[in-house]
Amino acid sequence: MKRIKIIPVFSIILLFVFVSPVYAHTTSQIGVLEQTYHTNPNYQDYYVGGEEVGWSIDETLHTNGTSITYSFAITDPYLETAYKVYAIEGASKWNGIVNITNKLDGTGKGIIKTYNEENSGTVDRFRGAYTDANGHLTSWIIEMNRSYNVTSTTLAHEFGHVIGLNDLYASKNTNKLMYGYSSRSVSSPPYYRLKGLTQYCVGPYFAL
Amino acid sequence: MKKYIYTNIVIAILMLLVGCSNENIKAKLPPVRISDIQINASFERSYTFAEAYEESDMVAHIRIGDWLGDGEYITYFEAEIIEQYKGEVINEIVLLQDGTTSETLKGYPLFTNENEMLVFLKHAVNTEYEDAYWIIGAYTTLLDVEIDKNGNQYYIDRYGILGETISTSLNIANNEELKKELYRNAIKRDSIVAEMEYEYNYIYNKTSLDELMEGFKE
Repeated sequence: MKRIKIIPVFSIILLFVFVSPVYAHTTSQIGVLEQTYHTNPNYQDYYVGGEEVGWSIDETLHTNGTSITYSFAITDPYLETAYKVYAIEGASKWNGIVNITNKLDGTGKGIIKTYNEENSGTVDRFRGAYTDANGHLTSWIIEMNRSYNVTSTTLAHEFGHVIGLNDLYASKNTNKLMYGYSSRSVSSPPYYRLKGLTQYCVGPYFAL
Repeated sequence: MKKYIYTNIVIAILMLLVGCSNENIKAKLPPVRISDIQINASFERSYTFAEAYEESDMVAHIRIGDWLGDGEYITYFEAEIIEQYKGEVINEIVLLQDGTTSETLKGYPLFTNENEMLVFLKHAVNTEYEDAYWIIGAYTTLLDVEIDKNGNQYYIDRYGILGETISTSLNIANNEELKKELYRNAIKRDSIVAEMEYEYNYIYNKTSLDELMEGFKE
């Protein structure tokens, strides 16, 4: 009789142990970042970055680890070779920081496609992003506006969003890849370096 | 007696019609103003205040009217021209805003009825609307219009992007009392302001920006 009672209780415990998700971070990592980097003057008080320090992290939406995959949309008749080259070259600008791989079999987490909107100043868009409970991207879309001059640099910028970096708009940040305009003065992310916060699953962490 | 009954019936019908008519003039609002999934947009170029004026087909203080619906990538609104600084003189336009009710731009909620702002516009092409205009830099070239308790009008750059290009001597955001008052008024006018992390660090007297724009004409 006792054995019968114990089995369901034990099963419930087992269920919790094996089914409960491992919460890497369900709350802000600012405290963690503060503990880690408070002695580094580069970070000042901006533990998730900001215009003042020239980088900014989106804690709610970023990649998990240093491996990113994408595929080209098979349903987009306008996705010509030139656009694909921009994407491949844009991805390669992050080499040595993260590995962005083109999955030819269509199994990439991200989709690259084009769109056409003449009545907008938008050149590219990072959109359709879904995440798990920890803000880690599970799927996303990068779209290039055919009405504008898209380049491998604008694509590298969009991949920065996949990594988890926010746009910067202050004029002092024109020399950053994440500057929100095509008039940025750099074509790759030379000023950024990986800070390796993957142990917190925050995604790569960058600073000047 | 019959006369009174008929009169009462007529009055009741009239009241019903007035009620229906009021229902008809109720503003059409966008069903969603901040979508769950958002867009990070990268823009072709940045604008200074002078460049935004220079490169626009129309510069105007507008008031948002009805939401007309979503396009594929943009949202359409009716907008009334309150004051016009540049462009073809017109009373009403259709305003195009980047983003739709299913995907809005990050930090850029869809407008709603009675929002007032100073916008720099380009004439839209290939749309179903004749007098359609789009905002050249989306939220990077947009100033909110707000008034204080004395009825003085101000332009506010809630994003601090265009404001960065206007002479600091014109910025009166260091007046903390005024800043708080305008922020409170903005929330009263549109409660979504309270949900956003806007910093009212760029505030200008209407007269000072009017003079600035007057200077651009010369």
